[in-house]
Amino acid sequence: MVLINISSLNDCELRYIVSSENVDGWQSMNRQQLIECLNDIYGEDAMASEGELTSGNRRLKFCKGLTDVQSDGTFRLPGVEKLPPVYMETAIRILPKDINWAYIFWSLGPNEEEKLNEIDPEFSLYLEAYELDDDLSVRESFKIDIDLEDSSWNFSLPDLGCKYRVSLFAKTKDQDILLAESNIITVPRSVLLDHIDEIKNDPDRICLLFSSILNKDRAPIGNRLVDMAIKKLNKQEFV
Amino acid sequence: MKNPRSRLGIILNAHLPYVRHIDYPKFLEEDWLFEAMNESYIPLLRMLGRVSSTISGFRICISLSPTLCTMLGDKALNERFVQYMLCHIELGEKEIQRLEGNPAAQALARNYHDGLASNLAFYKDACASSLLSSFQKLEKKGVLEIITTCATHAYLPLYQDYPRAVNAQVEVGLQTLDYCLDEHSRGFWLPECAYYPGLEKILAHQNVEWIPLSSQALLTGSQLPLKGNFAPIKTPSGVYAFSRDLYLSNLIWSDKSGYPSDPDYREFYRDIGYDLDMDYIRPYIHEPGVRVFTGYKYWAVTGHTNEKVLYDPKKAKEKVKEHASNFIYSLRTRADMIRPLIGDDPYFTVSFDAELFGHWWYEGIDFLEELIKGMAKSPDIELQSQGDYILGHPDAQVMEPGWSSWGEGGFNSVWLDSENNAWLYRHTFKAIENMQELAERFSQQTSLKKRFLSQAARETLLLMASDWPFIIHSNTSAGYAKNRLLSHLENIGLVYNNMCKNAVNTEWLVKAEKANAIFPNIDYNIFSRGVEA
Repeated sequence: MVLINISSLNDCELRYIVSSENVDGWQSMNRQQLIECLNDIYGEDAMASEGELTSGNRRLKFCKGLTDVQSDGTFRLPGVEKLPPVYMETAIRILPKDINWAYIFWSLGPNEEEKLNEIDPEFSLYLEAYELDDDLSVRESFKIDIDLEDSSWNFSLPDLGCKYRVSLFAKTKDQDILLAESNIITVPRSVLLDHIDEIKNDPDRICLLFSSILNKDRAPIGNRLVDMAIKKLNKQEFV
Repeated sequence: MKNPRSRLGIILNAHLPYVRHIDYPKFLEEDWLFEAMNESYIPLLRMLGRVSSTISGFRICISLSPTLCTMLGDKALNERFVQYMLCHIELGEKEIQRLEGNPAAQALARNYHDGLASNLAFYKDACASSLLSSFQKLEKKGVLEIITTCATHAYLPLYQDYPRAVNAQVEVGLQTLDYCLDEHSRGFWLPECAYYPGLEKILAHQNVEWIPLSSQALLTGSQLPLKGNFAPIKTPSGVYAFSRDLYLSNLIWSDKSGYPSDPDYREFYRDIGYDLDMDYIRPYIHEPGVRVFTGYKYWAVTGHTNEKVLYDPKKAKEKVKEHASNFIYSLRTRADMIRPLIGDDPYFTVSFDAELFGHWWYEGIDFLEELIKGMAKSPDIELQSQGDYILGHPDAQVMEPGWSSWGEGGFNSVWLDSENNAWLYRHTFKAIENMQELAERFSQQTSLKKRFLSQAARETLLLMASDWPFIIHSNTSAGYAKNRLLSHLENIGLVYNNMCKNAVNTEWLVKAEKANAIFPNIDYNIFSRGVEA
C-alpha cells in the first residue's frame, strides 16, 4: 500500500527508484516486477505508519527518489580542488551522540605514518579512552584496538556524570607512542535521578515535573535520562 | 475584559536552508521556498491580517531564520516566485478542464487555482512583493513577536568546542534580522531547540533575552525546576528559557495521533505531480521529467488504506473547529491541574516548524485562526508571546538547563549519525579551524582580500547549517545536501590555499559572491574574536 500512485510512473522512473534502493537485478525487471518490487519496499512501512508525520520521511524519500537527480556536483566553482583524502595533521576528536554513545574520529598524517614506518614497519594503532573525574584525574581507562584503515569508532560511554577523553597511540616493537589527544566531553550527571527518593512519595511534584514530557497517550518523550528516572520511580513502586 | 488564569505562547520556526541557484533557469530545491511562501507564509500573513482587524490583545512569536529572510528579500527569487505561481495557476486551468466530468474534484481544482491567484495578488498588491515588510507590519501592530536564529540554523551543541564559530552564528543571525527588518531580536530560536550548558554565556553576550528549549531541558538541568515547564527559568547569565510543553504540542505534532492525521484532512502525499501521466504533467515539473509536488492534491487522509476518498473541504472545516475547541479545552484543563501545584497561573510554550501549518497540514492555518478566535472569546486564557511574558514576570528560578534537543532521542544523534552524516564533522571542523586561522593571520584586511576572506566566512557559516546533516540522516535529498557540503568545504579550502600563497582567485571570488550572496555586511574578523563560553 504505497500512497504514491506507482502505476502512473513510467518505466524509466520506476527503474531509477528501484536502482536507488540497491535492489539486485533491477536491470532485467519488467514493469510489473518493478512495481511489485517497490510495493514490497515501501508498502509495509506505509501501511504501518500512515498518518504519522515522522513517517513522512519514508514517503518523502520515495518522492525525492525521483527528484534527486539534479544535484550531480553542479555547484563546483572554478579553481577549487577536491577535498584531500587525508589531512596532514595527526589528530583525534570525540563527540557525544547521546548520554550512552560517543563518536570518535581521528586521522594519521602522512608524515607521522612515514615516521612510524621507519621506527617499526609492523606498527599498529590503538585508542585509549579515559573516564575522568571533575578534576580531570583518570578514574578508569579502556583500550580499543583499531586497524590502520579505521578512522572512526563508536564508543559506549559507561557512566553518567563523567568526563571522557581519548588518545591515539602507536604500538611499536619497543614502545607505545602517544600520537594525539582528543578534546574532553562531559556526560551530564542526572540531578533528576539524584532526587527520585525525595520526590517518589510526592505525587503532586511528580505530576508537575513529568506532565510536560508526556504526550496525550501518557507516553514519555524519548529520552534516556527521562526513561531512567521513570524506571527508577517504577522500581520504587510508584504508580 | 481579560483576566487570564493561564497563558499560551506559540512559537513558529520559519526556516529553510539557503537554496538559491540563479545560474540555473529553474532549480528544484528552490521549490521548497516557493511552496512554503504560497502554502504557509502568505496564508499565515493573510490570516493574521484578517483576524487582527477584529481581534486584539494576542501575540504569536515567529522566528524568521536569516537564510529565509535573505531569500525572501532576494529580487531574483521573488521574480521566480511569480513565475512559479503563474505556472501553477496555468496548471489549475488545465486541471479544471481535465476534471470537467467530476464536479467535486473540479471544485477542488478550482479552489487551488483561485487560492494561488489570490495569494499572488496579495503578494503583489498588499505585500508589494515583500513578505518581510508584511511580517514587519504585523509586528508593529503587536500581532507578532519576530525573533531570529543562528545565521544558517547550525546545530550548536556539536560546535561547542568552537565558541568563536558559535558566536559568529549568533551574532550574524542577529545582524541579519537587523539588516533585513531593522529589528533587534529579543528572543533567539535555538536550532532544533538544541542547547548545551555554557551556550547562554554567548547568548547573553549578544544581549539575547530569551530562548526556547526542548521539553526535557529543564527536567535534566542543574536542579529541579520549581514550576516545571510552566514558567520560564533564568540561566545564570540572565537569559530566560522557556521549555516546550510536550502534551499540548503533541496534540498537533504527533507521531501517531496529532490533529493533522485526522481522516477528514487532506492527504499530503497524493499529488498529481506523482499521480498523473508524465506527458500531461511534464510542463509543470522539472526538467528532465523530474516529478515534484505540484500542490494539486484531491484526496483525504482517509485512514490506513490506499483507497483514499475525495477530500471534502466542508468536513475538514468542521474538523478544524472541533480540534481548535479541543485544544482550548485541553489547555484549560491542564492549567486547572497545574495552577495549584505551582501556586501561580501557568504559562505554556508550544513550538512548531512554521511550514507545518499550510504546507504539511493543509488546514493548519485555519486551525490557528480558530484557535486565536476561540482564545479571544475566553477571558481566562491569553495568547501571549514569550517576550511579553517576561516583561510582566521578571522573577524566575535561576538554573542551568541540561544538554538537550528536540530531535529523536533528545540529544545529538540525528545530527551525528555514524551511519550517514558523522563523516562530515572531520571536514567541517577543519574548515572552521582554517577559517579561524585565516581571520587571525590576516586580520583587518581591506579591498579584495577583505572580500575574499568575507566570502570564506559566508561559506563557513553555510557549511555549518543543520539542514545538511538532517537531510542526509533522513535520506530525502541527500545528494543535494552532500554536494552543498562539498562545495562549501572546497570553497573554504580554495581561500585558505590562496591566502597562504598571498593570492586571491578573483574569478572564483566573483562567482562565489554571486552564487552565495548572503550576509552582505559580514566581517570575517568575527572568526577571530574571542568569546568566553
